[in-house]
Amino acid sequence: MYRGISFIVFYFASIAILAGAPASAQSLFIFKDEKVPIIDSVKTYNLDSVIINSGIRRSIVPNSSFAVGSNIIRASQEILSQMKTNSLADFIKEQSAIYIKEYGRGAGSYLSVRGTSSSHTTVAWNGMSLSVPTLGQTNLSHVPIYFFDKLDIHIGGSSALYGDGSIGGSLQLKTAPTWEKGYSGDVLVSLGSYSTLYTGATLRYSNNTTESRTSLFYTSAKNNYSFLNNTKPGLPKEYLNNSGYLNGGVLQELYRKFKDSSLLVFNLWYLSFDREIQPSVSLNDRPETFASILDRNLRASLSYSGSSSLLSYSARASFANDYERYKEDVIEASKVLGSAEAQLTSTQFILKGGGSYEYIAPSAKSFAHSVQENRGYLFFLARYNPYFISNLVVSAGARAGWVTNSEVPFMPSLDIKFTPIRNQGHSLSLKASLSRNSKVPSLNDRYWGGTHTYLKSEKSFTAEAGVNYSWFGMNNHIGQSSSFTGYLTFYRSEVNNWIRWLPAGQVWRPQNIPEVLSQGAELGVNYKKEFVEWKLGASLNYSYTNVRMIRGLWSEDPSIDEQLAFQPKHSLRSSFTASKDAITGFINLSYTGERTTLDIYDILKPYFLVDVGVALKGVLGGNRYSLNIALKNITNEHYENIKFYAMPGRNWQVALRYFF
Amino acid sequence: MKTRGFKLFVCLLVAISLVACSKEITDQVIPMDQKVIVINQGNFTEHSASISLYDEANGSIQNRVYEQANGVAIGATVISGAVAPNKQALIICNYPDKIEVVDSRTAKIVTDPITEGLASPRAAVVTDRRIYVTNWDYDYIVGSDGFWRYPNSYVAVYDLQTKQLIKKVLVGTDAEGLLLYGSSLFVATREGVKVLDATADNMSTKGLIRSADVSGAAKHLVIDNNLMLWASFPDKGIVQINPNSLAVTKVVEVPVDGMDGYISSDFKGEKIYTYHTVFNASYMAESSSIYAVETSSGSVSTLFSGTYFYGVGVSPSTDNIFTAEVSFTSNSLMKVVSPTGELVSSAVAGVGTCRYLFF
Repeated sequence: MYRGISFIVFYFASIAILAGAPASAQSLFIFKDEKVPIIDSVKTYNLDSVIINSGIRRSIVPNSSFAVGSNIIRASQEILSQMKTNSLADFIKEQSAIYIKEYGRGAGSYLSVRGTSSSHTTVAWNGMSLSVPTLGQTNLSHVPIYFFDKLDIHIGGSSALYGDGSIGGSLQLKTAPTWEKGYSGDVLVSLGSYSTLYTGATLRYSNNTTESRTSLFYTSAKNNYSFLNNTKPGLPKEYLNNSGYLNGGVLQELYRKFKDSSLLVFNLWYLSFDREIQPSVSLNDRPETFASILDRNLRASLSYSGSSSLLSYSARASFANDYERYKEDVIEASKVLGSAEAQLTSTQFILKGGGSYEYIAPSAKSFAHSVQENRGYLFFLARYNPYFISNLVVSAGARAGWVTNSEVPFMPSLDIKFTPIRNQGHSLSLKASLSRNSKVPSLNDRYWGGTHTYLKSEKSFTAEAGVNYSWFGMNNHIGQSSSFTGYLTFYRSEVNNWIRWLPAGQVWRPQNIPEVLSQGAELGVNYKKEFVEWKLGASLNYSYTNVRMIRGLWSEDPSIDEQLAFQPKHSLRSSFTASKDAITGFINLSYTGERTTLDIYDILKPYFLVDVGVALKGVLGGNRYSLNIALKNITNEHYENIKFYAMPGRNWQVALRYFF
Repeated sequence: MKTRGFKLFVCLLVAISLVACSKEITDQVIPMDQKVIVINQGNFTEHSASISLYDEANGSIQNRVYEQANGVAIGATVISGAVAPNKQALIICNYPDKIEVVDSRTAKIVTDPITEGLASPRAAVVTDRRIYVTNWDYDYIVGSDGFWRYPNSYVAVYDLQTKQLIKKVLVGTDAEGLLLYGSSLFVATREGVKVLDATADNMSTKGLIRSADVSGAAKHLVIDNNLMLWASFPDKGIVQINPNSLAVTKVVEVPVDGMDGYISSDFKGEKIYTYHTVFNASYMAESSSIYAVETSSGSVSTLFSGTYFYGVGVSPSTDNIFTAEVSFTSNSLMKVVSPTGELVSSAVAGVGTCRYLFF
């Protein structure tokens, strides 16, 4: 009966969404099994929750399994569910010390891992790239967390694992079946400041062999928040104009298991982002300069995977179309991709190899009609866990490819992890990684306004080393546990032929910057303790990023050996949680350090943000619900992430999610 | 001799820093502080323009003086500027379009910015009563070369004291530099040099000057020691114009920057300086030179070379030539060169260093 009611609720919610009805937004939901650390490091040492899927089978391991020597931030299904109304940009901003360049609330947001540019980090969904081929990068505010079940953030060079573009890192988003028999799903409604609305609905149906998942979301906001205009004397308070958005999307997945435990999967998503382009504060009262941008992204894929006793294999065919309209200009690109991979598994070895082929057809007024692109890649990965040194894991990989009119550097990697201590709840691992990575110039880089075949592929050599430590303790007398996980990583990454657009007479053209050096350290700690009836948690993530141009295009460039523009040296995120029964309170702290604009003398001041909130969970009508209330930027800090682009002051969000 | 030199300087100042040389002000003597307002255009999409203040006496530079003096940023692209006889500096901004009025010595804001009547302002000339500003306007057509043209360019006329808009006058396509000679306002446009009668704000057209031997657009104007005007036509070089007869009297072939087309004359009006940057097949700036043209003979010589220059100015106090190895994605390196071509000093300025206002 309840499932029937739930289905009806879902049905009407879906119709409301499709009709453009308001919905809502916010974060932090709490679930029954919610004890997984907010952000795990390379390993999750204490298993607080277990999700058991039926039909367990040996399958191809993700490429991230070969990254034994580098750092992967692994966000579980539980923590992702806490931020379902957020974009990927919001999630990363709150949950890690990775820097994101933001042009406003809900506006363009671009990742910068270890000081690299957004095009140096690949973003993929179930292995399918989400970057727009013409731009070669992903706007993270266009990636809805609501659709995803898992997220891996691989920090550091990883082209051998994830392919072209993984110079700074890689974000791997995943969806997966639950195999929960019958109908299930949720309806999500959220409200927030600045007329922010978010609604989402998911319906799953599963029997023993087939599962369907349908998810929809719709969100809108006016974003008419106040700010202090730092281009006018007296810093007058103004309200932001032309900053609203109206976004929506649908995700459809079909899973079919066969008797031999092979799996056929069909994924489809379609997203639409109709967004006003937030003006700089100096243009806020100049409506003649206001503009909007419309993006539509389609992704579809069909994959098949199976396994025997030693061999696992999978194959995928996918199609992507990205459309963007800015004023009268339309940029569109379609991509067809085919890939296959196989894996051989033994007690000590995992060997994996595969290949892919892409055909990309762009369409833009500034491209020649003949522009088309073919790409092909082959990769091989190996992981070795010798029986005579059981606490040692070594992995190596290599990727090679070809791209139309471009040279593709060879991309090898070598990882090692040694765990000398693993007893009485303590675990200490030493790790190291070497990798050579590359990125082929984007289509815009090569073909916008001409054919720029002089451009070289960007390439990097990254070396990193670090230590992971974890401890898990249990007081058997009172049955309460404590746990600690931490990591410290040092890295050095030399990037050659970094592409930037520079003026060349009356036009701007891309050029290769000879050498940029990024060095730094990353620290993450997570502590959890059960205390009487309370469950307490604290986490801290800090990154130190020293990224400088070592060799410029001209020897006298004053910015040589200076920190790159818009790159903070110091970035810190911290959170504290306290839970008792059905209530959880949290405090999130965020510090972004000083950075410069393109002018090395133009220093943007650091900012410190504090968010607080509370989450409730309960049962209504036999089904679970969660209610989340958050106050963000409670100190009402006036700040700009990118100079002249106002960010919101104190604001609130309330979200209600009902499960069935 | 000294007085004559100063009077000539006043006239030259009209040309090189766009201060008007009109009958009303020719008897004024403007003492020089040996200071230079250095305009850093900024990156268009970043609003990263800034103002630097260079002291010729000791070779020191202060960057971002506008922000330091006023506690706020310009928040725009600065295209050009002009110093008025009262030492107020007009900073011509694009995106957003405005003219900031600041005290040259302190960079402090004097009054609210001018915004009325502006649409992509380009350059200004100021007398003791009026401000004349060229504007591209927003309407454009796409030329056969793919570049935009602005066919409804106009000159906006303002009262210097009240900063109120008096009138707007259409002048043609891509209006750029302008120069006031007597009561005639000369305006560089794509069609040629348009001449307007500025008497009593009449602004009627007196003529259009163009040599049949010269193609392309006129960009900027200066005046020489014989009170002859020179207009830059990047397709050809520079063209001498008799401001009274409105006739072209000489054409000198010399490399002129095709994008900016800016030229400058020295204190005595004996030389005109142009600059030009050569880009290789990969669109990289390969070499750049400052060229000196003898106004009397029309002979051309290379004064100084580098990689990527964008703008040139000549100090009336020292005769030194100012330019910069320019960058629009980082700071530029301003270079001061002696009249004989030796590097005198250099200083790190802002993003896109392009103009030098001497006062």
